Parts: sequence; structure tokens; C-alpha cells
Amino acid sequence: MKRTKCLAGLFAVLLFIPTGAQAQVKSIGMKLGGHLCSMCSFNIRKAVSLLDFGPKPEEVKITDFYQGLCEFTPKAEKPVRFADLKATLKRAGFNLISAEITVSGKLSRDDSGWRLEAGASGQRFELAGDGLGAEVEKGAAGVNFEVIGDWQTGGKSCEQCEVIRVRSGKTDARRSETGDAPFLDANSIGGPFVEEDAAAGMPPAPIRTTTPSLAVYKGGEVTLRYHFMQQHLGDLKVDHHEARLGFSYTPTPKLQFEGEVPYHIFSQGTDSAHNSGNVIGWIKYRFHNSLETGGDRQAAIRVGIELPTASKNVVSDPATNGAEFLRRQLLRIDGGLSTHMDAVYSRAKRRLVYGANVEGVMRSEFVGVRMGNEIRLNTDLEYILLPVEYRGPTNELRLILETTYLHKARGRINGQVVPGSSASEYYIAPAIQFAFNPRWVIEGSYQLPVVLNTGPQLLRTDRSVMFGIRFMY
Amino acid sequence: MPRAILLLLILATHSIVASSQAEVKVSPDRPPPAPQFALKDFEGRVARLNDYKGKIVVINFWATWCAPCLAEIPEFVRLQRSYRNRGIQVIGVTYPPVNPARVRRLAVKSRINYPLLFGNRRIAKLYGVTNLLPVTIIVDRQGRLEARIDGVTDLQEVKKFLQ
Repeated sequence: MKRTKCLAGLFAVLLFIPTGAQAQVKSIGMKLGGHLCSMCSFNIRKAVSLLDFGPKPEEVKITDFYQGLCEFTPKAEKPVRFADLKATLKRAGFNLISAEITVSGKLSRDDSGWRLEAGASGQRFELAGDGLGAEVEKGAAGVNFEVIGDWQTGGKSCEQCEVIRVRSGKTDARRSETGDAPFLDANSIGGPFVEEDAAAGMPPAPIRTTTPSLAVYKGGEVTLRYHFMQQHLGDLKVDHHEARLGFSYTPTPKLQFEGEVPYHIFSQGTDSAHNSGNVIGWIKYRFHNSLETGGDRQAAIRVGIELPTASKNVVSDPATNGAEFLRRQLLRIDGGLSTHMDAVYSRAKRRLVYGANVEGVMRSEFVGVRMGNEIRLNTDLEYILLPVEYRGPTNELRLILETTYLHKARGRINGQVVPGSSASEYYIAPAIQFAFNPRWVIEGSYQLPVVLNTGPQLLRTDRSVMFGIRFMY
Repeated sequence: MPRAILLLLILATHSIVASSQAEVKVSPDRPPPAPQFALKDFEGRVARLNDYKGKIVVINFWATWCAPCLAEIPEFVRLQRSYRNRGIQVIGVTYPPVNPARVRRLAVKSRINYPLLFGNRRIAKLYGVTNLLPVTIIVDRQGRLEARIDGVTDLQEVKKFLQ
């Protein structure tokens, strides 16, 4: 019995003795192109696992579904090959745009340049790249070294060589001392790949589809929203019906073009009128995007121009019509050429998504009248209630709470300030959103005023209901 | 009272189990019969599983927007071409429902040489196609479920079940 215990102890010690064989390919990060469907993760995992060096399907992590980022640790004893990875993914319908590899091994040098030998598989990688000098040159031949870089097949010395275009490298000091544990994690180098929370097994952050929207969806979307709004001013009660056709196009992850065309109908008792509104176009620049475990953070600025395209035949000159300021509110024509500025921040963390945006609107006159300039502060809190087991935006139900603080400065008629035309208002809007699949989403919200500090010249909003449908292409 | 609650729990559990049994599970010991279907193709013709009695039927659930599904179509075209005379029939079932014109365009572009049928929720559920595409089901000559391949596949993987 005693001998058995001793042998077991010796075996345990042997297991933890550091060996040179631990030098290996530590991780491979992949950036896949094209549209990833909500059911793609299974197929990506299956395709990678079919490779000689592929791990089990469940060990392939999809770190960001919408940006096509995946990561896996290959089998230590098998040599890896970029061309094979690319080919197997292509057969499965995916386009491997680039791959980042982290290899720990022994540094050596021959006539054609620096090499890194991963001990476990005995595979030798050719090291290349402009960033090679400083970091690699510091490491002397024979030392343990770890590099992170872009990986491809085919180098200077041979077409079949695996080449790492080094982005970052370090002497594996801790390995020399303890023989274990990586010393550099993917996040610290600011690369695009992050670790998924494997313990929680949560998928990456879902696509954002509501305001303040930062959805990065290669392609774009078309949105049709219907707004019903009830307003009053004294005894005057007005119902507004407004349809807004929006569209967006996202050519790159940082840039997005958006546009919106409104059409408006109002009814007041038995009277009604309809008119087109001002067309608005925006350019959005997403200057910050960081992925983190189970989510992401994004920030963007947006600049928009509102064009004076509203129906001119329905307005009249305020010089001849004293009630024109009110009529413009009934027609929802707020002014002429206007500038919109918008700053947006959002964060998604597992099932919770929250964000805020600040928007400023500077208006100019439209046939003698303009409403006041505006500042809006919107907040947005979303919870993904369904599906219980999240695989992507299919049958996805979100509960949303949006708030809006609006400050409206005083309006003008023929350049003269209109007293009592400013407002400070605060609204709250519970909303719901359902994504049938990654392409089709319906949404609805009910907005109620909480604080209405509205000037006597302005219509006061009693309630507002919105229904929308969006298609992402 | 606690007994009543226990009874309710048992009933609820039973109903959950019963509903999950509605989906087809392939058992290696005794494969269950494949669920029958009658689905239309994009020309409006109705095709039934029974029409292919005596043949090995390879049913491929796919969608036009699913990249892996499109990637494996050439494999099924090859399979149909090579094995047609050996009593093997490939059937493509699109699910979720899509625009027929789009399916037709794709069929022409990919030179699809087997019937493409429009699936529905009932059929998808019967064959257990809920959260994943593509899914390939192989029905043997006796009309029993021989195999199920989840995710993208190739000729080699399918051939294993065609002996």
C-alpha cells in the first residue's frame, strides 16, 4: 500500500516536471470573412476539428460571432498548416481572411533567417516581418521564445514552410524558471482576439439592433418605422402618424452611412393633412471597439445633415399667417437645413446591453420659421430574455427600457425669437424587440412623458407609440 | 396538497418528455421509420417520401443564406450524379421557407440535379432540425432513418452510410 502511494506521488511529480516538449503552438486565432449565419458556429467547430491538428469541436471558441473571430489551441504533437486550415474552412463555406498564431518554442537562426521550433510537434516556423528586428533579435538562438504574429503558408525559403509575420515576441523567461503557463495573453497585445469565457460557455455579445445602435453588420439594413403620437396644446388635440423609412450601409467596421426619409400625416378633429418631411443623412465613425469576455464596448460619433426636402406647398409665410409657428408643429416641419451631431457609447455584456448617446441639432429657418435647437440625452438598457440557450439572434426577444431627456431652445420666426417656445422634457419608453433570425427584426415601444416643462407655444406630447420592422442585408 | 403538486410535476415532466419524443432520434439498434412528408418544389409539384420507396434517400436540410449549406451543395450534386443508378436519391429541403425565385436561381447556378422542396416547421420538427443547418438525414431502402449528419458534410462522410 505504502509502495503504491509512493509510486503515485512520483508519477504526480513527474507530471509537473517542466520539459522542453511543452514548447508548442499555444493558440490560433482566425478571422473569417463573409456573412456568418446564426448556425455557423457548429459548422466552424466541426470543420476545424476535422483537421489533423484540430482540437475537439467544443474546444474551438467563437470569440466574436459577428466579426467572425474564432480561436483554438491545436493538438500539441501535430504540426499545423495554414493552407490546410484555409482549405478546410473553404470547403465548409467560410473564407479565412487571416490567422494569428501564438507559438512558444526554441529560437534558432540559419542562412535564410530566424526560426522557431515548437518542441512538441518538432515543427519549425519561419519568422518574418518588419517587426521582427527589435524583439526577435534580442532573443539569442537557443532560448525559449514566444511569438505572436500573422500566420501563413509559404515563405522565402520554401513554399511549404509555415511563416509567422511577427507582431510581438518575448523571451519566455517564466518558462525558463517554471516551465509552465503562458506569460502573455492575447488581450495585452491589443490584438483582435480575445478569450471567451469558457467556464460560463456564453456566446459573444449579440448584435445590437436598437438605438443607440452600433450594429456592425457588413452590408446594412432597411428599417420601416411607424410612429403614432398624441399631442395637445390647451384644448387643441392632435394625432400624428409618421412613417420613417431608414436605411444604412456599413462598408467597413468603422464606417457607416445612414439615411432616413419621413412621411407625416396629422389629424385634428375632422381635419387632416399629410406632407413629406426633411430627409436626413448621417455618417457614423466607430472610433472605439474593444472585445471582452462575453461582450464588447463600442463608441462612435455621428454627423448628420437634415435637408430641407419637406413639402413646401403645405407651409405658408409667417408674415401672412400668425399661426404658422403652430402649423409647423402640426406638420412636424422643424426647420430647413440642419446639422446633427451625435456621440454614442454602448456596452454588451452577456445578456445585458446598455448604452447612451448625446445628440445636438442646430436648425435653420424653413420659409421663415424654425423650431429651437435641440440637445437630447438618450439612454438604453436591454435584456435578452430569449432564447434561453443563446446561439445567435434567432427567435431573440429583448426587453428594453429607453429614456430621453430633451432640451429644446426657443424657436424663431423671421429671425425673431418666439417667447414660450422652449422646453425641457423627460420621457421613458419601455420597448420590446424580437429578432426572427439575423435578418428580420420587429420592434415596438410605448413612450410616456415623465417631466414636461414645455413652453406655452409648443405642443405637449401625451404619448407616443412606435412599431418597426427591419431587414438586414 | 403536496401529492397534488407532485402529480402535476409528474404530468408536466411527462408532457415535456412526450413533446421531445416527437423529434426523430436515430437509434443504432432499431432505426425508427422516417417521418412521411408531402412537400412542394418550386414548380408547385408535390413530392412525397413514399415516391422514393426502395431507394436510399439523402435528405439535405439547407437554406440559401447558410454559407456551409451552399458549400456542400456541389458534393450532393456529385453524389446524385454518381449514385443515381445505384438507387440513391438526394432531396434538398429548404428550411426556413425562402423566396422561391431565389431558390430557382441558386438551383440553376449550382446545377442542382435533384429535387428541391420547400420545408415547413412541422417537417423540420419531425426531423429534429431546429437550431442547426445544414442537417443531412439518410433514409434506408426500408424507409427507416439510417443516419443523421449534423453540420456541413462531404461525399466521404455521406458515402459511409450508403453501403
